[in-house]
Amino acid sequence: MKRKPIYPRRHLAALGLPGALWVLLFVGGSLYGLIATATGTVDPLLFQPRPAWNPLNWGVSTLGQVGNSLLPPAGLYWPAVSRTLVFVAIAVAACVLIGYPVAYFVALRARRSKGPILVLLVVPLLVSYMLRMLAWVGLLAPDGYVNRVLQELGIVGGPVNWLGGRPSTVVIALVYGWVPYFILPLYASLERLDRRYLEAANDLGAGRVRTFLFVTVPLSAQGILAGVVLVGLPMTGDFFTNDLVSGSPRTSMIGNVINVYANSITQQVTGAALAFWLLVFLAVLLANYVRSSARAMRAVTG
Amino acid sequence: MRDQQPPDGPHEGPRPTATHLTRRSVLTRALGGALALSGGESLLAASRALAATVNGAAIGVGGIPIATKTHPVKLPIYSDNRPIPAGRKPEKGPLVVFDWGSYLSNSVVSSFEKQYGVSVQLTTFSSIDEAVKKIASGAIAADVWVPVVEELPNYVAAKLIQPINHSYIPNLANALPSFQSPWYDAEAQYSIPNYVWTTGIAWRNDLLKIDPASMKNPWEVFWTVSGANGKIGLQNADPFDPLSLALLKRGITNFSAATTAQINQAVSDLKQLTGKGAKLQYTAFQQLGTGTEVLAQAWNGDVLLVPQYLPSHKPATSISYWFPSNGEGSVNSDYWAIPKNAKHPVLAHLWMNHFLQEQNAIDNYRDAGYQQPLSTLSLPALKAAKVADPYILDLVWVTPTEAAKGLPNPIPTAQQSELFQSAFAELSSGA
Repeated sequence: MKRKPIYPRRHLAALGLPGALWVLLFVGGSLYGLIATATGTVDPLLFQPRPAWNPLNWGVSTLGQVGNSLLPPAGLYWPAVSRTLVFVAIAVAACVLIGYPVAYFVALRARRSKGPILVLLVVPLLVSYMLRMLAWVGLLAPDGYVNRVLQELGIVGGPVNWLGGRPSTVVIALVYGWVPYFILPLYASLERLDRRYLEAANDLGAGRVRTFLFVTVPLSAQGILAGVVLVGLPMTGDFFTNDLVSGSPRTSMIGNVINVYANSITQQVTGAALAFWLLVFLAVLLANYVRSSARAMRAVTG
Repeated sequence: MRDQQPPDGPHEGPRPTATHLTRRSVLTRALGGALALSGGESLLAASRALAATVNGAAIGVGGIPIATKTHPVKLPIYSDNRPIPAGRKPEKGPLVVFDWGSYLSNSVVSSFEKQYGVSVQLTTFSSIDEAVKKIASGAIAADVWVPVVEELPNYVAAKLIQPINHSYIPNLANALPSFQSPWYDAEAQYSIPNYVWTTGIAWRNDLLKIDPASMKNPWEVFWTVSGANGKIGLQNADPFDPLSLALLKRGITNFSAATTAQINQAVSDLKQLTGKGAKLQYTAFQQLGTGTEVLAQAWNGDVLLVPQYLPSHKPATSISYWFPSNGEGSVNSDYWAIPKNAKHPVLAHLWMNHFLQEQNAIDNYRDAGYQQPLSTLSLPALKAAKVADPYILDLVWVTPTEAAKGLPNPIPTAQQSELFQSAFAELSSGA
């Protein structure tokens, strides 16, 4: 006999309604505004964008032309796009390499230190991203502490120009800024890991390394993926980090290009179109993640 | 940045290559498409008809001739946008002043409030686009604001600002002659001058041994300097700013007549700098002060602030600034204007008049770091008022010759605006 649910479905739906309305209004509404701007026109006198609120009036020529400028090999902004993909790939990989051991230790090994470590992981998130990055500008200055320590240790002979348009500085800053957001969802995933699987692996003769590689990592795959999505997506649109720790066009990311156009007097429609294509790209990645999560959930629940 | 477009044909130089057209014009065409769809076809056609001129000046928005320094333009006054009549009493206020952030001395505000017995509400903006949006939409009911020269014809054609009645502004006589009837607004029909500034070469002389003044072409120092990779800054407050440096390096001083080929070359030249790590930035004072940069294309106002960021053991004389004494460098200015729908236009006029007094100019110099183009303001007066280190004041003082002969960013046609913006976007994206 089929069990009656504790709460009727319509009650659950009603509980979700305020949140859904909020998302529709403030997320959906702003996205619609972006598309309307990207497909709209420009006031010929004051060069202010005139969004096309009616979908029947959407003009796609700007979208098409801007989209072409992002494609390899001759797209004008392909260098910025490819640079973004490379920076984000390296930064996300670094987040995984740095964040996984931390999350693993806190979830599966830490005992009394679990609480304090979690606090240390959360505290930076109480400070705005901008301020955390600004702190790095002082640290990385020619006479900043990083150079002083490196010179004291004899690692470098003189001050390194960290802020002089180095891709490595941008990547390191991205990792620094986003790694807490990778660690926390992964920690949550590892926390929920059924320890009996690990015990079973031990009982079957697997050593620590094999247990980690063939049991722990696969079981935490969804957590890794969640962390990658949580840090990879915002990194892709990041412009502030590069502006702050580099400011050089040779490290410009696609977010910087969008920022230039968004702040321009005459070409905000182009900026909106660039933002639209970035959104489409990220939405495709996100959709893949959602599909993969749903598949994993079905595999578990049957 | 809109200015006289040279006529087609031999004056424009060699045509851009197809590759260049494909790469950069894809985005200028995007803007063109958006303008065309908006019904601006006639506007585009007008601005692209380079042969369409009036007395040698290209036609810009609303049929208004594009002004240049050698070709000042008297802006039209429309029948449905007349100046207020003379002799009106000031309104009760409050006066809403809409200005850039950190650009106005509180002392000037207080003295106005005291003199006229009204309160002043100061609201700030951080970009001209933000300001125009808010003024045009009525989101801010400003009575007086600080727009940009490059868009003045647009504001006039759109009737966003109102003509001024000089009977309320006798202190306009305090302004330098070249600013009492500026090239961009002959007879000052819509504006009174705010600040004037130069964009020159600033460097930390304790970290970099250069002497631009002794060079045949001082602007080349950015390209010939050694030991400064990754420590050079270029101005990007306006898309034309970095382009102006490259044009000056090539000896091109007629900014308003810069051709597409010259702009393309400027981008190529600048890419040589950005390829070595040169940065595009709004201000340079912090970078020069902390030493993260040793050489920068910088406003003179930035140099005024550098000593605040120097290490405590470094004197103010660690910074140097060069600008050509003959004035052949970038000199720009801005102005006060009154929105057409200002609720307190008489107070707005009185504000403009109040602004043009020597003491207020001294207060603004001390607190905002910029110079008003007043004939009544002098370097000795600034030194006597101790607004800044005398060494720095000597470096950054804008002489009347420089103010009169300097090279402003051009008022561009729609096509030039697209060209400058796309060139800047290509440069800043690292393409």
